[in-house]
Amino acid sequence: MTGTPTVTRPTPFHVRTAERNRDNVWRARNGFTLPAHYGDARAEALAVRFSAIAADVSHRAWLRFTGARAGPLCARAFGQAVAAIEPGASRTVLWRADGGGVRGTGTLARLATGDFVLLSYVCDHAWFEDAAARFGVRLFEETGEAGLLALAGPFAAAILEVGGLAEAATLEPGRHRAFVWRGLDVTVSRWGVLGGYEIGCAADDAVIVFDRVMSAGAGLGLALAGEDAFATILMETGVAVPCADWAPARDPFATGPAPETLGLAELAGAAHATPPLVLAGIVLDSEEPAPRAAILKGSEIVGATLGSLYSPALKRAIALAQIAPAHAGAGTAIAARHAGDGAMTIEGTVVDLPFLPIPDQIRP
Amino acid sequence: MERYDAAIIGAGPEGLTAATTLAGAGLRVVVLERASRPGGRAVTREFHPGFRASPFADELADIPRRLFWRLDLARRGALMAPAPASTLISEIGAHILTAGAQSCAHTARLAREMDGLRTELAARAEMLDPSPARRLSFRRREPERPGWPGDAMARASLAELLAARVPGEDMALHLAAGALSGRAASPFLVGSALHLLAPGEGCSGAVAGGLGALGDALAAAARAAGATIRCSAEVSDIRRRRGRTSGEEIAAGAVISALDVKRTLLTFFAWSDLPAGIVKAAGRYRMSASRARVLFALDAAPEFSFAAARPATRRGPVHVVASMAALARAHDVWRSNALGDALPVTLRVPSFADPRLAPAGKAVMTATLSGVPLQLFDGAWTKEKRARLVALALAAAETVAPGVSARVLACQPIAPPDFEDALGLTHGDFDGGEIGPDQTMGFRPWPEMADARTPIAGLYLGGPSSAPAPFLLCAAGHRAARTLLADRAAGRLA
Amino acid sequence: MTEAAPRYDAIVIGGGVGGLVAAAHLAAGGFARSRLRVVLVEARNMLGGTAENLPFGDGFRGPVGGHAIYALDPASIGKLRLARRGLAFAERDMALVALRQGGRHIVLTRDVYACRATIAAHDTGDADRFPRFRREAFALARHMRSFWDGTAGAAADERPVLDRLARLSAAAWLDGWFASDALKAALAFDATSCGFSPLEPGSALALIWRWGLEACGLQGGSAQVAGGPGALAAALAKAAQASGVAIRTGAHVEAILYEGGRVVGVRLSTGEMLAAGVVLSSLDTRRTLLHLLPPEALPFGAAAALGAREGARAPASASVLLALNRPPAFAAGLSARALRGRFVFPERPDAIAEAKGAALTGLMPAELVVEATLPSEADPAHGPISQHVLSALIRFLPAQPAGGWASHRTALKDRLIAALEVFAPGLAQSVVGFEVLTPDDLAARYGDMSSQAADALGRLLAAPETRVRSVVPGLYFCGGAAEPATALSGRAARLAAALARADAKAEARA
Repeated sequence: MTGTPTVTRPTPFHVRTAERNRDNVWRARNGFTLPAHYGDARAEALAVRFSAIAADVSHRAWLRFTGARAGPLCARAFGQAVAAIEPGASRTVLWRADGGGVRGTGTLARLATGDFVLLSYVCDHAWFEDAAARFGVRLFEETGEAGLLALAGPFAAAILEVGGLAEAATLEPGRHRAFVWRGLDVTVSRWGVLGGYEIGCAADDAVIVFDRVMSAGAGLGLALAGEDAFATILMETGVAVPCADWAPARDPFATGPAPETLGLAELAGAAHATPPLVLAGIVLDSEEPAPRAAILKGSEIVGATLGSLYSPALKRAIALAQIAPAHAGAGTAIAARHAGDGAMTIEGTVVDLPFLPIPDQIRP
Repeated sequence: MERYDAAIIGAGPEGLTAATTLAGAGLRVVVLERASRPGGRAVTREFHPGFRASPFADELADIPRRLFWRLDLARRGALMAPAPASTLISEIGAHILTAGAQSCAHTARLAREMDGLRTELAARAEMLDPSPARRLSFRRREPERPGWPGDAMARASLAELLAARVPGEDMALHLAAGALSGRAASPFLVGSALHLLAPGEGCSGAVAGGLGALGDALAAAARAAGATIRCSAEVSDIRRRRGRTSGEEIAAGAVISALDVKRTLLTFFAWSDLPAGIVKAAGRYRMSASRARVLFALDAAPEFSFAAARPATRRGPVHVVASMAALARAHDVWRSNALGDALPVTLRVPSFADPRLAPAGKAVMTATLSGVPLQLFDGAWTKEKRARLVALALAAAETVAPGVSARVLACQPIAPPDFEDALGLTHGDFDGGEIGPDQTMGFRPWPEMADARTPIAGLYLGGPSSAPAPFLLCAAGHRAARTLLADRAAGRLA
Repeated sequence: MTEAAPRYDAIVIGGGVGGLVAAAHLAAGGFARSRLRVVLVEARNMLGGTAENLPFGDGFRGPVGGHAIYALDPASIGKLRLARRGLAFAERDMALVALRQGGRHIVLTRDVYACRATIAAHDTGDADRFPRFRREAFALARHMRSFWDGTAGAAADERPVLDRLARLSAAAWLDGWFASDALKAALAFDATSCGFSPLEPGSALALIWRWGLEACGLQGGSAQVAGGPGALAAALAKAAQASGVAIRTGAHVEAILYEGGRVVGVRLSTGEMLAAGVVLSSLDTRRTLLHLLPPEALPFGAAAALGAREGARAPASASVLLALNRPPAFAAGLSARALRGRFVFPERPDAIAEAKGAALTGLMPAELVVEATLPSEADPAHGPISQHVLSALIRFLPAQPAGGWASHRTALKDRLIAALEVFAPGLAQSVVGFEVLTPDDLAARYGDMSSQAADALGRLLAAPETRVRSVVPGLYFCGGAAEPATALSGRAARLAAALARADAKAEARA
C-alpha cells in the first residue's frame, strides 16, 4: 500500500443510489464506489425471490473489441465457439493465462459483425491490450461510462411491461436489443447469470431510467439491492465471483486456478477425466460464515471453502468450496474448520449447486 | 387392517414435522388429515378468482434453525422474508420501526434477546425428558427435569418490560401491538411479557406464495422421508388394545396427536376410559379464541400515507392501536364476550412484497382483528356479525389508506368458529391455549404432562398445546416424535 | 493452401549454421525409410549467416562472426561428414591469452602446468591453485554437460547444482579461489560470450557451460576454421545438398502460415507459398513468433512477454577487422601457439561489469571488452604475404548510443586501436586497412538479433527441449536462439531435427 489514496469514481446512478443509502455504507468495486445496502441487505437478498430487485451494475468491467479481426481475436481469447455468436446474442466465456489458470469469467456479446463487448466482474484490460494491437483490433475500456441497471427476480419481466418495455420483456436469455424507450436510447440485455435483464443507457440518461424503473416496479414490490445483497444472491445461485471467492491468475503463465475447480469445465471446453478438485456447495449448520476454511471428512482434509456468506433464504451460512471429487457428492456430511487459534469446527453438508435457483419469470 | 409403526393425527406443521422425524428414523408412518390437503394452518387460499392469501395468519412463529435446515425447507420452496419495517398508527401518530441497522439500538437488542431465548427454547426442546416413573413404583418420585428458559418473561408484564427496555411510549406501544396482534391479553397483567417471545404478528417471515408454500414444503419433506399422508381421513376415536392405542381401521404402534390437548383427550376417547384426573385437568386448561381475519381483494394497491417517504413500510404490517390502555380495554371487552367498537387491527398488504398473490395492478389486503371472542354474548356468528368484522377492518384501513373502501372487490371474513371448523382448533384458539405463565414452557398443558407423553401409553402430544409451542413452530411435533423414538428404543412401547 | 503450393515435409527458414545443420539432419535421416523433402529458404544470396568471410581493405579477408568457434557440435561434424566436404581447422583448441600490461600476459591452455608460469608472474599462490581449480571446474562441467546435451530436463542430482550455479556470480566463485584480478578476469571472460558480466548471478553457470563444451576434448576447444568461417558454411552447404535439401537463396520469408492450430507452411515475399507440416526457424524467437506468425497462433501471455522485450535494449556486439602490415608488438613475447589463440582484455572483472552497465544505459563503456584473434597466424590465406589480420569482437556496446552508430563508427575503431596500443605500442601506424561492423551493420546484414540477448539466464537454465520447441505445434527453433547462448553450434539444430522427426512419427501413428 503506497501513500497515494485510491481514487474511486461514482457510477452514473450514484445520485439516486446515494440518496437511498441512508446508512452511508459503501463498497469499492473496480474503482467505483457502490452502496453496500439500502437498509437491510437480507431483505434485499430475499426480495429477488419474492418479486424483483434492481441493482446498479455499471461498475462491471466493459471491454469493447472493434475491428474486422475482432472475431478471430475473440476466438483466440475465448475459444472457437464464440465465432458462432450471432449479432444480438451472447455467451458466457472464460479466458485463461498461458499456463491454464483462469484469469476471468464474463459474458461476451456480439453487437455487430466486428463489434464485441466483454462484460466481466474484474477488468483485465492489460491482457487483451497487447493482443488487440497485434490483431489490429481497437480495444476500448468503457467501464462505468454507461449506466447499467440489472433487474432480476420473477417479476422483472412484469416490471418491464408496466414500464413500457413490453417488447424487451420477451427477449430470450442471452440476447440483447436496442430500444427507444419514450425518447431514450436504451439497450435491454439478458447477459447476467440471474435470469433477469439489464438496462443499459447513456450516463446522462441514467437518472431518468432509474426513476422510470423504480416507479414501474413500485407496485410490484421492486426493491433496490446493494452490493452485499447482490453478493449473497450470486452465491446462492452458485456463481463463484472472481476476487471475492477465488483469485484470478494474474501472472501470464500461471497454472492455477483450473476451470474444473471453479465449476467452469464446460465453459473451458475441456473435461478432466478426474479433476483434482471440483466446485461444490456447502450448507453449514451455523449462521456464521466460514470463508477460507479447511473441509474435513473425519480427520482428513478433503478441500477448502472459497467464499462464504449468510443466506437469508436458507437461514444458514453457505459456502462455495473446492472438494476432492470422491467427497463432493450431494449429501456428504463434512466439517469446516476455521484456521487460526480457537479453531472451531462447524458441521455441514455438501449440496448440488445452485443452492437456490432464482424462480423463472412469471408472466401475468 | 393396515399396520403402521406410528400414526399422526393432523397434518399441520407440527404433524408433518413429527412424520418427517419418525419416517427419517425408519418407522412406517401415516399422517391422517381431515382436510383435503395437508398443511393445516400453513395454507394459501384463493378466496376470490385471481386473489390468494393465507386465511389464518400472514406469518407464523419462528421455526428452530436446526429443524429448518434438517427439513431443507428453503430448497423445497419455503422462502421466508421477515418484514422489513412495521408501522404503528396510534392516537399519537404514525411510528415506523424498521428491521436492520436503521432501527433503534434498544429494539435491536431486545430482538436479539428474544432470538436468543427462542434458540435456548429450541435447545431445551431437543432435550428429552426422562420417562415418568412406573406406576408400580413405591415412591412416586418425579424425576429431575431440566428447567425451561424464560422465567423472567413469565414473571413480568409486557408494559413493564417494554417501559424498562425501550425508550419512548410509541416504541413500547409498537412492540406491544405487534406482540398482542391477534391475541386478547392485557399488557398490564403479569406474564404478558411471554407474548413478546411469540409475537402475534409472527416472526418467521412472510412466505413467497403465501403460507401454503411452507405447508407444501413440509409435506414434501415428510413424503421424501417416506411418510404416507392421507387426506380427507378424519379420526373419530383412538382405540386401545392391551394398554396400547390403535387407530380406527389403522393399526399403529403409537399415535402422535398434532391437535390441541382438549380435542385429543376429550373427543377421541370415552371419558370413562381415561385415567382419573385427566378430564378435569383438560377442562381446566384455558383455551379461547381471540382472533378474526378479513381478507380483501382490492382493485388497486392502497396508498399508505406514511409509505411515500419510507417505501419499505408497504411490505410490513400496519398496527392500528390507539394506546396501551386501548389494548387493556380490548381485553376487558373480550372477556365479556362482546365485540368492541375499536378493536386493535393489524393490516397487511402481502401482494406488495409478493406480487404473485394478486393479479397485475391489483392487491390483496389482510386484516387481523384482536380480541374477538368465540361466542358473542348476543348469539351466534351471523352474517351481520361477520359484516361487522369487515366494517371494523375497513374503518381501521381508512385511517391509514383513505379511499381503500372504494377499491374493495371482494372480502372474506374468517370468524373464530371458522378457525375451529377449518383447523380443528378447540374454541378456535389459534395458539392452542392461552399464553400465560401457568400454561407455557414447562407447564404446558399442565405440569404432569409437560413432556410429550400422556398418561395413556402410546399416545403422545405434539401439537400447539405442547411445549415449546406456541413460541416455536414445528418444534413440538419434533419433540413428540423424538420422545416416541426414545421410548421405542427403550422398549417401553413393546 | 492452394493445390498448386509445392508440398514439402519440412521447411527450414534461414540458411545460417543452425539452419543448414537442421536441414541436413532432417533430410539425411529418413522417416519410414523414405527421404524427407526439406527445403531451406534463405533471404540473402549466400548461405552461412554470420559465418561469413568479409573482404576488406586491399586484398584482405576477415571473419565476421565465428573467428573462434567453440560450440560446434561434434556429432554434426561426424554425421554430416563435414571433414570430407571441406571442413578443416587451422587451429584447434585455441589458447586463451589475457593481455596484461607490462607484458605479463596470461596464457591459458589445456596444459595446466604450462600455464602456471604465466600466472605466477601475477601471483604465485594463484599459480599453485590453478591446476586444482581447473580440474575441479572441468569435472563439474563434465558432470553438468549432459543437461544441455540431452533432451530431458535436469536430472534429480543436477537440480540443486543448477540452482546454486544460477545464483552464483563468476567473480564470487573465483574470488574464493584466486587473488589476482588478472587471472580472475581472464577466467571470467568467457561468461561474456553468453552475455553475462562476471559480477552477475548466473555467470558461474555460463562459465560451466563453456567449460563443459571445452571438456569434450580437443574437438571441444575453441577452433579456427581453415579458410575462415565461410569454409564452414560451404562445407555445411555441401552436406545439405548431398542430403537432398532443396536450397532456395534470395527467398525472403514473409509469413508462416497457420491453420487449424498448427503451422502449414510459409509464404515468401514474392507471394509464393510453400506447404509443409513442419517449419524450423533459425531466426530469433521474437521475429518468428511475433512478426512471421499470425496473431491467432500465439497465446496472449507468451506474446505479451515477447513483445515486452521489444523495448529492452540489451547490449550489442560489434566486429572490427584490422589489416596490419606487421604483427602487433605483444606478439614478441608470446609463443607461436599463443599467437594462434584468443586475446582478451580488459584486465579487471569490474571493468567488464562497468562496461555492461554503461551499455545498458546507452553509454559507451569506459574500457572496451574485446576478444581478438589473429587469424592470419594460423591461416596465412587471409591476406597478402606477411600482412596480418586482426579480428576483434567488441562486446557490451550500447545498442543505440547517442547520435546513432553511424557517427560512432570511426570512433569505435579508434578506441579499439587505442586499447590495443596499450599492449602493442605502434599498432596504430601499422594499420593499413580496416572494416567496422557496428551493431546496426550486423543487424542489417543478418537480421536484428537483439532480442536474443535478453533473458540470458533463462536460456541457460531452460531444458533443451523447451528451447527448441515453440508454443505453436509444428514450429521449432534451430538457430542461435535455441542455443543456451548465441553461438555457432548446431546442437540445437540437431535436436530440433530429431524432435521434429519424432513428433511427425508420433502424429502419423496417432
